Formats: sequence, structure tokens, C-alpha cells
Amino acid sequence: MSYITECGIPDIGKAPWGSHFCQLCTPRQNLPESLAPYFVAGLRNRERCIWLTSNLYEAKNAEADLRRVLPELDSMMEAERIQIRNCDEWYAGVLRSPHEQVLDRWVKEEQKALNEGNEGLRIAVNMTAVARPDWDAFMAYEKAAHSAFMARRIVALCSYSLAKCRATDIFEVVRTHHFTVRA
Amino acid sequence: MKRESLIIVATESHWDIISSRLTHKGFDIEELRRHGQLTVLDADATLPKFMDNDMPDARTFKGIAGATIEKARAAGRYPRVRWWGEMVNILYVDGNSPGSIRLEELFDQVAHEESIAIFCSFLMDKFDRQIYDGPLQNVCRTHAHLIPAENYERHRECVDRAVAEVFSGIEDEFLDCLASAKKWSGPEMPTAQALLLWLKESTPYLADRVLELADHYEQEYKATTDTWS
Repeated sequence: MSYITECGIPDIGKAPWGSHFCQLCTPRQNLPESLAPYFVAGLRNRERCIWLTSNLYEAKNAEADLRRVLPELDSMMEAERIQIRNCDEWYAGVLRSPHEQVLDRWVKEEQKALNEGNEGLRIAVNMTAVARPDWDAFMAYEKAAHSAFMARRIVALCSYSLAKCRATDIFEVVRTHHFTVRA
Repeated sequence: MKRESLIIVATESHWDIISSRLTHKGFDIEELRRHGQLTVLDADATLPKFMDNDMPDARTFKGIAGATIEKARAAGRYPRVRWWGEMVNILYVDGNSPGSIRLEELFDQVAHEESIAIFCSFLMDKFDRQIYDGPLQNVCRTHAHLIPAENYERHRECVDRAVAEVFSGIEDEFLDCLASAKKWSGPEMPTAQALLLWLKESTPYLADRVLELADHYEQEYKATTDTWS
């Protein structure tokens, strides 16, 4: 098994497993453009994919955008090669339960991916809907995720909206990820 | 303060304030001192004991510090010791930067060698441009944590407003600079403070403007709260 995987994002090329990186973007316009190739690269590399979207760019829109570049999306979804869901339900527990529980969920998804013969787990999470009062809790979670993913066959891309982030937020986001992509 | 001993090395005026606050909170200062749980040294009187030509003599300083800590442990009654002091600040305020930095380094060594917690206070204005020309960086070099403000939220708001205004129209420049933010390292501190220190390194000219504006916003805030209180 290779220790690196094709990112699918222009100018990034390949990234090692365990990469946890962020994307600074405007709320709607650039997401499909950069995320669709990210998932196409993952699916072509036999990776299990999970795309958590936000209420600013809902799962049904993400599905439609991805279907345009990946006509076989429906069959892949049926085979659970890829899940596209709203992040609200996934992260609802972050603020109420210890980070370990949420991270454990990712680890279980990774194990499932590997048990099913995949190369690993590819994640994209749209963080644009993080509410201001939840910010600190999410940053603490991000730090924990950064360490937890490092030794695993997981690549994770977190998208943040430049329009919603203040300077200190952006600084914090950049420092809690391996590298930053500007959409 | 249950199983810990406290060493306070303060100026006379500060000790007056601290002791009255402790008394107000229900602590019996004399009893704490009698039990050896509280050791109080006069910062102005202690400094000359180990200073030699404007520089601290390492051996003499460590001897005094070690003996004070040993006494504070009270033969094992208080295995943990915390030290608060302002001798480094006295040197800094007096304009003796080399002596202040050296003493800070010696304190850092004592903290590690004796496994005690040392808490230092400095008379520095967090938005004063001059402290970003070395003094604050020196403080960061020898401390594990930095507490730059009483109100972190307000501090962050002032910095955010200032950065937004200074980089207005040149937001890309800020985002381009951020590539180096990943590598910036310092002690634990609030994000807004880390951003200021990093900005000073990456875009010094714009950082000065950010500090000036952040100070302005803080004064504005203080004026508003003073009006309403």
C-alpha cells in the first residue's frame, strides 16, 4: 500500500496519508470546482469517501455537482463507496461529547474502508456553518483530529469560508492543518 | 494552596495590594507565613544580593533561589512550589534589558531544575509597538505560557478589527503571508496575540499599523465602558 495518495486538487499533487488540510473559500462558488476532483481522485484510487456538507451548500447540491463529473455516482453511493451527508448531524455531538467519541467514529469509518479492501478513507468537511459560539470547541476538535489522523490511512480536507472567518480565525485554521489550499 | 507553597517576590507597593487581596479572600497571611506555606521577599531588596555590574551572577542567584525554594518545601510538607515575582520586570523597566533577559534565562533554568511553577509579570502594553522590537519576543523565549490581556475576547476583537482595516483591499497579501503562519512557534497564548507576533515577523510595517489601530479600538472600547459604568 502506498503511503501517498493523489489529492486531485490542482497544484497539490500527491499528499501522504494522514494529511489534514484546509481550504479557504467563498461560500458557494469554488467548492464544487475543487471538491469534485478531490473525490473523483479518491474514488479512482479505491478509497472510501465521506463528504459532509453544510446548510450553505447542501448534500443534494453536492450530489448534483458531483454527478455532473462522475456519472456513475449513484451506483457508487449505493455500494457505499461514497456518502454525502449534512455535517450538522455528524458534528452535533462535537459540542456535547468528548472529542474522542467523534474521532472514534472516523477511525471506525477508516477501519470499515480498509476491511472492505479500500486504500483508505477520504474525507471532506464543510466547516462554513460553524456558528460563532461553537468556534472554540471546533478548533479544539480540529487540533485533536489533526493528531488523531496523522498515523492513519485518512486524508481530510476541511473547507472554511473566508467571508465568515475573521483574521484570527483564519490564522487559527491555518495553524491547525498541515497545509492550506485557496479555492 | 492546599498542598502547595507560595513564594512571592514583590515590590513593597505590590505586596501591599496582594496581601490585602489575600486577606480579603479570607487568608491569614501571618499564619501562612508561620507554617512556611508563604514566603515573601522584597524584590528591590533581593535584587542587589545577586547583581554584579548590572548583570545577575548565576551562581549567587541560583544559591538564593535554591535556598528559598528548599525552605518553601518545608521539609517535604509542600512538595509543590509556585513562585511569582517581578525582579525581571524591575530590571526591564529600569532599562537594563541584557540583565533582565539573563535573569529570565536563569529563572527558566531554576524552574526546570527545581520543578516549580514560575509566574512572572511584566509592565508591558500589549499594543505598544516597541515591545515587539525584542522585549516581548525575549519574554516568549523563556516562558511556556503568555497571558497578554485580562479580556481575551476584547483583545481578539480589537486585533481582528485592526487587521481587517489594515488589509482592506489587500486581503490577498494577508492570505499569502499565512503560508508562514504554520511555521511560527511560541509559547501557549491566545490566538490574537500569536497573530500579532507572527505579523510582526512577516510584515513588520503593516504590523505596526495593526498595533496602532488595535490600541485605538481598545481605547475606544474603554471610553465606551467608562461612559456607561
